[in-house]
Amino acid sequence: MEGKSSNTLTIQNVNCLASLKTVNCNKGMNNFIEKFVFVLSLIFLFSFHGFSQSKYEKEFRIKAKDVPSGALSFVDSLGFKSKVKWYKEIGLNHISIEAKSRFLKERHSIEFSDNGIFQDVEIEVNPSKIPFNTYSKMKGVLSQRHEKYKIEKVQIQYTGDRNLVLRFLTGNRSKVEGIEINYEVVISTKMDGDFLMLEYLFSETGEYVQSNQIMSKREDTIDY
Amino acid sequence: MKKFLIIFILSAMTAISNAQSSYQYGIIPSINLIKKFPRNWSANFKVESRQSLYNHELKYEYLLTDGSLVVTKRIASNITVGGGYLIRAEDDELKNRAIQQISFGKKYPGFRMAHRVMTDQTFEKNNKAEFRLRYRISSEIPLEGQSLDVKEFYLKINNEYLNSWEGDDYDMEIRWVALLGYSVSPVNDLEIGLDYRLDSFIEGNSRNRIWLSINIFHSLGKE
Repeated sequence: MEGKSSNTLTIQNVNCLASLKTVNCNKGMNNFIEKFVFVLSLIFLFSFHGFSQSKYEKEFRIKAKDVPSGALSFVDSLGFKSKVKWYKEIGLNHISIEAKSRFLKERHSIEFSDNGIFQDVEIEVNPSKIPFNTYSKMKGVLSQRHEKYKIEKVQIQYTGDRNLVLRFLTGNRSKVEGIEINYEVVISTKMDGDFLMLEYLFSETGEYVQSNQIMSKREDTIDY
Repeated sequence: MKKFLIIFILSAMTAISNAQSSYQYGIIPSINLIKKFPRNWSANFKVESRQSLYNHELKYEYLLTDGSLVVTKRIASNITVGGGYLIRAEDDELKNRAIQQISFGKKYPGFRMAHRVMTDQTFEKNNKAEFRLRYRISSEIPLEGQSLDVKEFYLKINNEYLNSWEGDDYDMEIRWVALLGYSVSPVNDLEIGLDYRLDSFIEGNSRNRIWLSINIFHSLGKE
């Protein structure tokens, strides 16, 4: 009996959908709108539940006037000709300030602490800029760990004393004592059947340091 | 090449605007429920309703409701293939549409871009089957930073070209969509904007349809 009622309801819904435009189906139209509003309300309910529960990292654009003076003077000293964009990143345990710009056709990203203390510089490069032996060693590590992978991005990371890094960046960029060099490599790969992005950190000589999975912060809807 | 392209676009626009055109305005609200499955499978259940507010005169008219389910599988980090089915309730009749699609997506510094190639076949009583070949380019641009985070606004811009064959008849439809989106939570997005559709401009009088598009996306089973 229950099954029969359910079937009847299904058929009725289909008939009314097919004749929504007719005057005789005004009642059906009202029912449809009521259901539509009900589903909409449920979705909003879910939305605000998610809103209050979510913990997240957030990155947003800030104006140069809101940047700590230490960070601003560092970037000003570099004399970038391209526009410098400033961002603030708020994570669960840290806040950082980041300057992004292009210089000599390469993307530069300079990170500072919340109060403007220099952290590191990352420069996106073509892999050919990495010493051959170092790059071969890095690829060897990746091949050992992943059957198939694709290198999406390579960055050279410079850390160390603020003045030394500044001298390195404004000079002819030959190695300066006291600056630590690491390589950050982002790859896409398939692990346990799932496609994912991983960020690897290698030392100056191409030794593996660490790796992290890049987690998507939200569900992507661009395909729909 | 650029000059030629500009001249071509201007000529096409002039030809279109000189022809007799009809304009229709309305709204298209939609709800998308997305569910991820293991092994890179994903499903999108969508309900979309179309309502006219102006067509030669200011008058509300309910037009149609679509219900569709498209299942996709990621076959590479940037490629998904999929297929699905759509049922359309329009003018006291049901239309059935089979859908096949492939999408290519890529993240660039500051925005994401996706290309979608889709084919579909629509069947209905008393009418010839309609076959369409569609191409859409979409981009999603975060408005607050380099990547889109929760509680941030974004722009979604689409441009789609739809080739349609029905018996001996051929038509092309072009769509431009500009939406302002807001990521409410990791599982909910809201979008509102304009969806402009132009068709029948190859032969006959062009038809212009401008919809207020309101989209809700909710991902199931992920908080």
